[in-house]
Amino acid sequence: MAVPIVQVERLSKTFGAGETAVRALAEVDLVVEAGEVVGLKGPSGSGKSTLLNLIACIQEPTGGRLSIGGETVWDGQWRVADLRALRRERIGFIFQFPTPSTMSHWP
Amino acid sequence: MNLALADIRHKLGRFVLTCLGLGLLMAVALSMVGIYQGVVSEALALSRSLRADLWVVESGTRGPFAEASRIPGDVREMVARLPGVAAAGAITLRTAEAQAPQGTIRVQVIGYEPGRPGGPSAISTGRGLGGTRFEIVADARSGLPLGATLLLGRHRYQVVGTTRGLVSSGGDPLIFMHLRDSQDLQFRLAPAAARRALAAATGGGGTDTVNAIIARLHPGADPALVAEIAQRWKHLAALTDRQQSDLLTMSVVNRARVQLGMFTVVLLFVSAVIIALIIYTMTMDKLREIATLKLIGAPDRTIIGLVLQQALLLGGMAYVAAVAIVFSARDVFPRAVVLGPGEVTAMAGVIAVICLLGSLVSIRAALRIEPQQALGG
Ligand SMILES: Nc1ncnc2c1ncn2[C@@H]1O[C@H](COP(=O)(O)OP(=O)(O)O)[C@@H](O)[C@H]1O
Ligand SMILES: [Mg+2]
Repeated sequence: MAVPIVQVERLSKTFGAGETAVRALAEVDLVVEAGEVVGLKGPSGSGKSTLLNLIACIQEPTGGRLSIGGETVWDGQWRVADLRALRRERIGFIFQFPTPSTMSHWP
Repeated sequence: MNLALADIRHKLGRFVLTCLGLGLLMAVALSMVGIYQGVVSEALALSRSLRADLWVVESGTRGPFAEASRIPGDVREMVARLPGVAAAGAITLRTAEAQAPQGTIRVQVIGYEPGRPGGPSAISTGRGLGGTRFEIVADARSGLPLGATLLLGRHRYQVVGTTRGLVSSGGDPLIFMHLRDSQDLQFRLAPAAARRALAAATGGGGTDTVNAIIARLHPGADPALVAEIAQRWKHLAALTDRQQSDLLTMSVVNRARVQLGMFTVVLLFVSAVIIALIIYTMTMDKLREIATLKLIGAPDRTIIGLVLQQALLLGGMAYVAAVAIVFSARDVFPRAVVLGPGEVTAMAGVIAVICLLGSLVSIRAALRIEPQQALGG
């Protein structure tokens, strides 16, 4: 069996600390195989954007483990030296709110 | 297509306007440099044109430009006989208001003897002074055409030739006339005043007075040595051409020069701040684009390149506009705006440095932008 494209294990994300801490994600598991199309649904504020940001390596998780293409990317700390190169080479983005200024005029 | 160019094309109108505005500012700074140079070069225009090696003036003075100097006209023969002197000429110098066809003009009148040192080194139209009196050679800056007449004192003078670029240290056009004519104009008192002077016996009766004797030396003669010999006459002082030039720039036009120099520095500083601010605003306008570039994994050098290329392009276009503006407008200025290849190149260097420094702040800010800022939700 091929390695999953995205593997998320007990991934957590807490914004802030102390009294004002917001636990956006609590120990989420998710596996996406190559060629699969996965939709994520839930009420506003349920953590959809946060999960996608973590998978895209735009934000840093606070717990759990994230692998992309079989390679561990985060498990308590970043395991990839150049995150931008990872995004450039292995991740594609389709924006939620494309604005005229967002790259539309750039080739 | 290059990222910097693509982004500029997207907001072309705004970029062109910014370039033009910045070009105007740089044009002002460049003109100031030219005006500064103009003051210095005009101060030296006359002494350069006279090609004097030695200036003999009244003892105790550093004339005739920095201080008033009066010596008897026959000193010229004494100077001409000094060892090392090839030719000597007597000159008078005086600023005057004259009636020209177009109105009252301010001129500096130089009297000299044609055939001896003291005349214009080059005539641009017409001819030099001939044998007849009441002729003048006028600089083009006076606006007098060939054949025009100029009313100076009680006499009319006819323009027989014109020169180009010969002005006094104050920027007034030079008018050359016969020594005799200028002495009449300068030293002969109006009849009523002459009678009083005679009665009070204050002198001033003799009209063979001049302001300075200029001497050209034989090649190989040492100006300092000849000056020393001339000084032995108690009523005379002598300056080498080098000393005269230094006096003109360091003393006669010193205040104007320093004033303009300081203003030029202030202007360059203000321009630097404005350029830095424009580049910073240009970068901050692209906050979202830069965040997106980072999001999709563009390396830092892409972002640095984007800011730097746009800054240099802006500076370059504005500089070209500035040079075009200054060179098409400089003849409109009432005084010389002197810009050689040296100054124009130096200005390009200064602007490049300002653009680079201005970019540094923007690049720092751009590199601190977080990729999340690209996402709206
Ligand atoms: N940068 C942040 N700082 C603090 N709290 C945040 C931040 N981003 C998201 N949150 C919180 O995390 C929770 C999940 O948000 P989000 O992932 O945007 O939900 P969704 O996309 O499903 O609407 C929300 O309670 C939100 O307020
Ligand atoms: Mg969301």
